Amino acid sequence: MPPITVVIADSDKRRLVICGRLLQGARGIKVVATANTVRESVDTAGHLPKILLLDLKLAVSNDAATVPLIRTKSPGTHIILLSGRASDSLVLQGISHGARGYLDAKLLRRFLEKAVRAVAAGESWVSRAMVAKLIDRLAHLTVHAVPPRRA
Amino acid sequence: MAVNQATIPILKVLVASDVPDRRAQWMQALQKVAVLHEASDRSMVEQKLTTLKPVILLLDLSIPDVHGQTSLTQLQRISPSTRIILLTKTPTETEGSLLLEAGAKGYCSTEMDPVLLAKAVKMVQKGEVWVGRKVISHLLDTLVSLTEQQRNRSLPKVDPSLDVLTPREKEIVQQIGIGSSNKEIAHQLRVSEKTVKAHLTSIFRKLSVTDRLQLALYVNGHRPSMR
Repeated sequence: MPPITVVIADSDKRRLVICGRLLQGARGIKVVATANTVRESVDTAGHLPKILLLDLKLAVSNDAATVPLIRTKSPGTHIILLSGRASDSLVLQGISHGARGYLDAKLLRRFLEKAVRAVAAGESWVSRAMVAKLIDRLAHLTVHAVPPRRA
Repeated sequence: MAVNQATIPILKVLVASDVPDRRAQWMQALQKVAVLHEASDRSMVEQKLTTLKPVILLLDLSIPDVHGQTSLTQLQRISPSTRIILLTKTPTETEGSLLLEAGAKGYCSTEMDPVLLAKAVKMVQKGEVWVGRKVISHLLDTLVSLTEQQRNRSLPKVDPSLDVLTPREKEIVQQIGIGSSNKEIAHQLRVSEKTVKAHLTSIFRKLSVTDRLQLALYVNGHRPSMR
């Protein structure tokens, strides 16, 4: 079975190293590249990794183009956002653009490997509180959406 | 730190199902968790919602005259403070998403493990939403799709040729397309950031885009289909 390939894209170099260490020993997981800036993140998407861990700061800079750009370059890559301090609305923005989950920096040691495996298996990784916000956002968007054409 | 001296509020739960065995099973699962009331048909549900105003309503979608979203909305009007958890024999992601968007606080299978049911009730009481993984994934997919639609709607319908741009502007657009920041572009082109920003203003105007995201998507081939 091929390993789960991972790219770590983080402007926080210390946290980048921590993520690398946490995944280093993990069976079946391989970190194939790292990135520090938005451009590097988009560039490393060229490796077509299964998972791309993306610093929330990088996700929201450049008018939040990062997630869509990565998804265009590598549609099969699943993005997990790494969030710092309370930034729910920014996380929600990243998820709206296609990230499959997010992990608070405080929970890295406990959940990083688990989150990587879950998302690689096709699941999402969001907290229950975020689910409620997600639903709110959806309800809001649905009201303003064009109704689907009936077959 | 002062402890709240108010008495613990009694958790009133209305258990509604037309299937007696199911109702009994749910009552048993929740007997330690809440003060329970029962209902076996629609009118009883409405009546007890009105008189009891329970914190939670466990509602079996198999009850006759209880049809998904419409019924949910009607029942919510009777007791807006009641959190409604819907249970169905064959849960689907589409139905789950729809009902949650309409305000349901939970959506699960009637065959759910009683221990999990008690947990779900406690979560919903705390103000959270109880929903399965597949439904969450579906919600995410829907959100992404709607966001994309909204984004595409605001893009120019007609495809302006990049030839309206000067060579320098084209260079900048190319850089945006790979995710470069203004600082990086300035460095690359050996100009000041201020100059880059001025160019961007011109580019945005010429291509009728409002921000970098639209520009980046535009460059990478994301255009709405012509209607």
